[in-house]
Amino acid sequence: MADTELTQKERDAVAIGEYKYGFHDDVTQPFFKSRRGLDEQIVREISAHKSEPEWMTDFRVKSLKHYDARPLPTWGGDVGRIPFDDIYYYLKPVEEQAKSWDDLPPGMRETWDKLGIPEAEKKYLAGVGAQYESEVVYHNLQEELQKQGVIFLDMDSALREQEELVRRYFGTIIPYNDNKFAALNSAVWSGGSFIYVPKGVKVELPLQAYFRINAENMGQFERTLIIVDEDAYVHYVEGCTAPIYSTDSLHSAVVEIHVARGGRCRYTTIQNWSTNVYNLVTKRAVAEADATMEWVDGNLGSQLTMKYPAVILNGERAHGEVLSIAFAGKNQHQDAGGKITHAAPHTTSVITSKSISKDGGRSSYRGLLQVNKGAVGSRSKVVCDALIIDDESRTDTYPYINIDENDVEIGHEATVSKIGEEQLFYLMSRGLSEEEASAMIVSGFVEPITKELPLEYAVELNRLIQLQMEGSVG
Amino acid sequence: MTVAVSEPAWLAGKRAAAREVYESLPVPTNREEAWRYTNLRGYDPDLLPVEPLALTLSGEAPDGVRFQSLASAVAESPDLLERHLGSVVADSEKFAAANQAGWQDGVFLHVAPGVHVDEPLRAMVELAHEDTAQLYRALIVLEPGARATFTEEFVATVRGSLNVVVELVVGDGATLEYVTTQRHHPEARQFGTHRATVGRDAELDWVVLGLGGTRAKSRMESYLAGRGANVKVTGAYFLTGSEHADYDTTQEHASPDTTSDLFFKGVLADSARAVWRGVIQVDKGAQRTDAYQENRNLLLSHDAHADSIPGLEIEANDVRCTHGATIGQLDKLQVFYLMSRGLSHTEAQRLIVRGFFEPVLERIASAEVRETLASALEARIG
Repeated sequence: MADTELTQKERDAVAIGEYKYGFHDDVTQPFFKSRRGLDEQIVREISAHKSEPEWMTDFRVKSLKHYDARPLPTWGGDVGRIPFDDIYYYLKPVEEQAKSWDDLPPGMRETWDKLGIPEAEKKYLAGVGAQYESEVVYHNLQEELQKQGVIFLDMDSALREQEELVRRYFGTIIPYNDNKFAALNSAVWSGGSFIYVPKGVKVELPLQAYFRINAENMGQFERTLIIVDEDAYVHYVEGCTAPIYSTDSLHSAVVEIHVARGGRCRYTTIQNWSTNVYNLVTKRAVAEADATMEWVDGNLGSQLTMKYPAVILNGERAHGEVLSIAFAGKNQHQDAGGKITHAAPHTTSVITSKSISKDGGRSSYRGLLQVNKGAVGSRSKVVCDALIIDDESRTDTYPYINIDENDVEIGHEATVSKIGEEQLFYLMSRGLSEEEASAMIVSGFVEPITKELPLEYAVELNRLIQLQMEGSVG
Repeated sequence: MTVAVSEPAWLAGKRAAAREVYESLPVPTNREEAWRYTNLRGYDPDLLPVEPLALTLSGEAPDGVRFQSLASAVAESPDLLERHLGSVVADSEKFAAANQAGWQDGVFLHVAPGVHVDEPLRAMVELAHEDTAQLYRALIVLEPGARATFTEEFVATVRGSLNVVVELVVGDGATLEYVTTQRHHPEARQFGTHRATVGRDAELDWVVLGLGGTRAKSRMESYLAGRGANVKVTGAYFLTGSEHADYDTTQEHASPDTTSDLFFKGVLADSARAVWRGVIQVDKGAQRTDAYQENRNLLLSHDAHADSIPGLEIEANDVRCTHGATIGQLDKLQVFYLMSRGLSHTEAQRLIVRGFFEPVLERIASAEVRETLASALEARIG
């Protein structure tokens, strides 16, 4: 009965072209909430709450000092209006992490049900982490994988249970002083995932993390570290949503990935934050010899996203890929892209970016392709396509290319276009409405990305696009 | 910077305002996005003594055409100068402000409505005294329906610095072919801003050649102001040793039905470095814009370096904008093939470089310009 009701609500939301995830849970009272704003005392408080080792407390304090000293970036999107002093930097929703969905408070449990996470876990996931505000409230990994030595924990538990492994990699791929927002994350991080896949182990089903902001003026700063050992494989999927409020929230994550020789990691993001969330994320992977790193990065939500997943190709024949899709609707700026550094010979990379701008939205591709001296025989291709639906919207392309080696092949191309009238005419002559035809063309435009997604996500992405396209044709 | 005393008040006013801007701006550093790959460390533009401009003008100016030094035009064509000087290039950038504040001479070309000039009009600037500076300013005005070819050549035979500002006004329905070439000593610097305003159904065919020189920057900007305006920009550069060129190109489409096509190709030998940053801007309402930009680099050595930064900023939806950038090396198979036919490696390389520039030369409409460029490149290929 509850399911039918939910479906009806969903239908209503679709019918009026609303953000489906804008609801919030006002029943569950947080276990602990820091005061608004940020200073050293709050940083030490967070660390104390988590009973962290001293080296981590020191790391946080050092990061805060760098964060305070570093100016806001002046490129990309407008970050000047982020209400830094009004934000709650740490909010612990429950005292203890649950092993079963039923152990969560009812309001929170209802949220996860609405988002469909417990259902998805049963059907097609090998493990799930669910983060609510600052903490991972639910975590589980299939027993079979645990037996094979796969570690999938929330980051805080990992620091307690796998301190040496965490310490060896934490902050080595993205140092605390990498950029303003990485420094912020390093100071106040909480939650996120830690994954270790042992040599030769291939995790066939995806591991998923879901990030939910529920409170108003919330700052969510999860920290993820993935280590894929030699010849191992893992596919990690993350989703994110938040309620609609009149005030702004901030999400600033740091994701570090190490893929050892011959390993492969695929990291898929379907970001669908509400349009009052600033999404400023640093993601970087190192791929050793013969390793493959793939970022599949879908940005549909948020007010402003600045995110450029990076791969450093550190060993011979390593391969990096970034597949990026951005959809910028009303009041949205998606400043997304990818960065590849060829640091070893015979490395290869592909960046494919597809963006759609609509209703005054702005999507920007910003990317860097770097070939270091000595990376002979490297090959790279960067392709950016942008679609603009109406004359209120904007698209930008900023593909930086730095080449320090002559024995390479580098290609870049970009196109900007609108929905072709001939295509529309053809589809409409086959009986589709203009709206249906436009949605179909847009779905076709992003198809190179959606075909790389697990089926469930491809369906979801197409549904979101259809939703976004509603009422787009006047 | 000394300036003639007999100048009219409007010009003195412009200079004073520009000087104020110049003095308020620091010498750009790598921290500025536009100068990220070109470091001016150790260069102080105020340090080099400014010498009078060594300018030679040649070419026949038929009736309806004024072709003279800019300094003489101040007295002879005051109304036109007052109207156009500084109307295309703003003084808001350090080197452009220096130019407006301190230019001593340059070129003034004015072609009356409907007048066609068949022969190219030429200007040549030579910098021959070591560690000196010269400032050059050109104002080229084609009235509606006019047609002309203007070529300028900058040659620095020694280390020194040139500051160049060129303003091109291409009136409605006019056609301008504009060629600007640099042939410089490896340690000469040329700071330039070249900008065109292109009117309704007007055409601009712009050719850029860069040989030699070190860390400085040339900004090449087209503003497609009138409906149906059409701009073609063709660039070629060949750098050796530790030479370093930096081009900033802009194609701004401000009106509907405008077309621009930019193609820059460069060959880099030894430890030479080229920076190309190009942006296509399509303003709101500039529907049915068709814009293209492409940069290709051929690196002949492991130490050569190319930075290619194409960019698109699009605010209209009914447009077709495309850009491409490639960086590659000598095709080993091609070299092998040519050597198997008895050519030395050097000869094979020369042939391939020639072939690389061929598509650039093919874009140049006028045979004379094409040949001049071809022989300049040929001299460089050796």
